[in-house]
Order: sequence, then C-alpha cells, then structure tokens
Amino acid sequence: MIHKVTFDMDTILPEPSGVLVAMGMKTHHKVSPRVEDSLGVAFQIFSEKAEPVGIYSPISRHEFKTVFEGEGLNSDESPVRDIYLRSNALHLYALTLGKAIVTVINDLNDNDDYAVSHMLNTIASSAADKAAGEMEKIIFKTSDDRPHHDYILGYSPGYCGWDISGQKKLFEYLDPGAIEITLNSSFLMDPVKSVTGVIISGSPEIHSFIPGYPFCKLCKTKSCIPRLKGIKEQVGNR
Amino acid sequence: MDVLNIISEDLQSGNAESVNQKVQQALDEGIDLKTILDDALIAGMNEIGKKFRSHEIFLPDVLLAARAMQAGMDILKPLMEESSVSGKGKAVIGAVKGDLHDIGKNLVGIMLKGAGYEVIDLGKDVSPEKFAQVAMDENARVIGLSALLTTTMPMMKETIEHLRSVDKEGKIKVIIGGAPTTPEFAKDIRADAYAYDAVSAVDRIESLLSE
Repeated sequence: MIHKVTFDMDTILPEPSGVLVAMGMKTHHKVSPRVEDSLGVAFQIFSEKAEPVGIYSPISRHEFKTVFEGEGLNSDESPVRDIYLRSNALHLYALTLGKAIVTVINDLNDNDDYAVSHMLNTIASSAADKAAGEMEKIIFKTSDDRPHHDYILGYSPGYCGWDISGQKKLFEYLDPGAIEITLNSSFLMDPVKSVTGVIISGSPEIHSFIPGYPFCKLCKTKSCIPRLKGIKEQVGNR
Repeated sequence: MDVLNIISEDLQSGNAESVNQKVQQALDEGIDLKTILDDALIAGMNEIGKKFRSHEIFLPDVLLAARAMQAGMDILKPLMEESSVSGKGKAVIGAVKGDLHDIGKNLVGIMLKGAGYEVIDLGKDVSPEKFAQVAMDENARVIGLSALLTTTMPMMKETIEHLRSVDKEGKIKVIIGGAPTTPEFAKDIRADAYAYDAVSAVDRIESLLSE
C-alpha cells in the first residue's frame, strides 16, 4: 500500500548560517548586508514555491531484490546488499520539492541573479535531504511491528554501489509519477530536487560497514561517516 | 576616483544598479568600450578572483559581483556586437550525459562570462555528440565538462574520445571538474586541464589558451 505524506516546511528548512557554510563561507566570516538580503529573498522564495510531498510503501525483501538488482549494473560488492539482506523491514520512498522551485532557480540564473539562484538551490538541496530524514522518522513512527531497538536509515540509487539505473525498477514498483516525479532515459529525476531510495529497518549493527569499497575512493560526499558515527552511538546506548 | 575605478569598486561590492549606470556614464564621457570592459569590469572581476583565492570573500560575494558584471555587460554587449571589439572567444560548458547536477557548472559559466568569454551553456545530461557538435559549429576554444556523480565520470572519457575523433587537429581544449574528479583522473582521460573550483577553472582556461 502506498502512503502519501506532506512535509511541514518548518521541519525541512535549513538554518541560514548552514546555507552559507554549504556555499563555502567560513562560520566566523562577517556577512555583508547584500549577501544577507539575498539570502532573505532566497528563503522567502523557497517558502512560497516549494511543495514538499512524498510517498512510501512497504516492500518485502524478495520484492526488493528485484528492485535492487535493477538493470544488473550494481558494483560487485555493495554495503546496501549486505544491509538489506539482514533487515527487519524495508520501505521504498520518493519525495520531491516540486517543479516550481526548480523553475525559479533556473529563471533566476538565466536572469543573472546568480547569488539568489545559488542560495535557493542550496536551500532546496538541503531541504530535500532533510525531507529524506523526515521520511525516515515518519516510517519509524508508523512501523508498529518492528523490534523496539530497530535502527532506520535510507539508501539511494547512485550511491554505495547501488547503480543509478536502479531507479528504473524503483519507479516501476512505487510509481512516483503520482507526485509528478518522472525519470528520464539516463535514470535521472525531474524535478531535480527529488530523492528516492529504500529505508531499511533493522538492528543498528546491520547498517555498519567499513567504507573501503572501490567506489568509496571516488565518493566526495562521505555522508556515510556521520551516519556510521550515529550507529556507533546507538549501539553504545543499548 | 575616476569612473573606471568606481565601476570596478561597485562591481566588487556587488552594486549591480550602480555598475549599470556608471558604465553608461563612462560611455557618455567618451571612454571606449574596450577600455571599460578591460580596465573596469574584467579588472573588477580579477580583483574578486584574487580576494576569493585568499579567502577574503566567499562564493555569495563572488556571485553578487558577477551579477554586477552582467549589469555592466548589458550596456556593453550590444555595442560590442556592432563594433569589432570581441571577447576572449567561446566556451561550451555542460554536465555530461547522466548527470543532472549543475551548480558547479553554472558557477564556471558565471566566472567565464566575468572573465570575458562568451559562454554556451548546454545544460545538463549532455551527450558526447552534442558537446562536440556545438563546439565545432560555434568554433569554441574550450569545452568544460562537469560531473558530480562517480557513475557519470566515465561519460567524461567518452565525451573527450568523441571530441578527439571529430576535432582531429585538437583545436578545442577540454577542462573537467566536479566533486569526484581529480587531476589524475583528468590526465587519465586525456583532458587538457582540471579545475578544482569555478575561479581556478578560469585561471586554468586562461593559461591553457595562452599556450
């Protein structure tokens, strides 16, 4: 069964200072009035134009195997494979901030308003990530039958050895067209400020891995590092 | 302070409206447009580049300055098209096929425009054939390839290989960039240059084209 969620804007908005840091600014650097004004405009536009919605659906391990194997292009070894095979529950999800926000970002850039365009882009990227975190929380709250110590984390095609072509089968199963996300021939989503993936529920230990896979050398996000730290803390608290 | 210095200062502080007005004032005073372009607008952007490299300012300030630069160019460009004054040539940029991330690519485009290049932005998810075709048709001097995903990096190699098969004399230089790319990777795939960020992309292209 597919569930639809609408995200509360307050839960996905990033901190203004975080936006500037994400744009490379040092935390102690004095922000000029022009930069401050532009950031205010970008946040205002985001609040007016973003339409954050998502869908999710439980999926069995057997069904997820088909989704994960996708077009057969995954890396030989992938932590996602090892993790889902030891899971207690799996949910596919897709979320988007909508088309309007992407249109505004592009229009601002085309009209040479680079600063506001880039700030809005950064706000939207951060908000999409935060919405994915919210999705994890929603699924955590609604999964009554899971063991109480389960730990929930999301994984997306295009990362950790799960090839981006995995989007195709994910879309076939979940139908994110219902929230107006489409996939192009390169397996990329439109609107671009969208996130899909699988949310894996299981004991904290299953999510732990050593980021020493061949593809890890090329990964610049290293977003697994804080996630793995969180898992370690969770295990330590038990 | 003369009007050229005022334009440069206003550009650096991101005052687009003033740059637009002062460029018109400079033209009205009889200053030729090449002087305004080189000694006020490009000079201002060069200062911005220096301040960015020394961490005096950061990206938001650079982008505000780039907008001010364009406000000045709005006045100069129609006049440049009418006269014999030309910029530094054409640069074709885009995110390679399979990649929809364009923040870095957009920044490179902004900085290249600021440095006086005509930028043809092909957008995202651009095929090797399109890169080569447009660059050849437009007589571009350089192609900038961007990728953010590790999975799309091989497409950079394919794009360069296709370009080399079409541009047999090697007239068009290729620079690559994007989060997962490295100078070593650029060398491996026979790119002419690698850029860490948008400001260094301009520096690398300037030195590449002066070779």
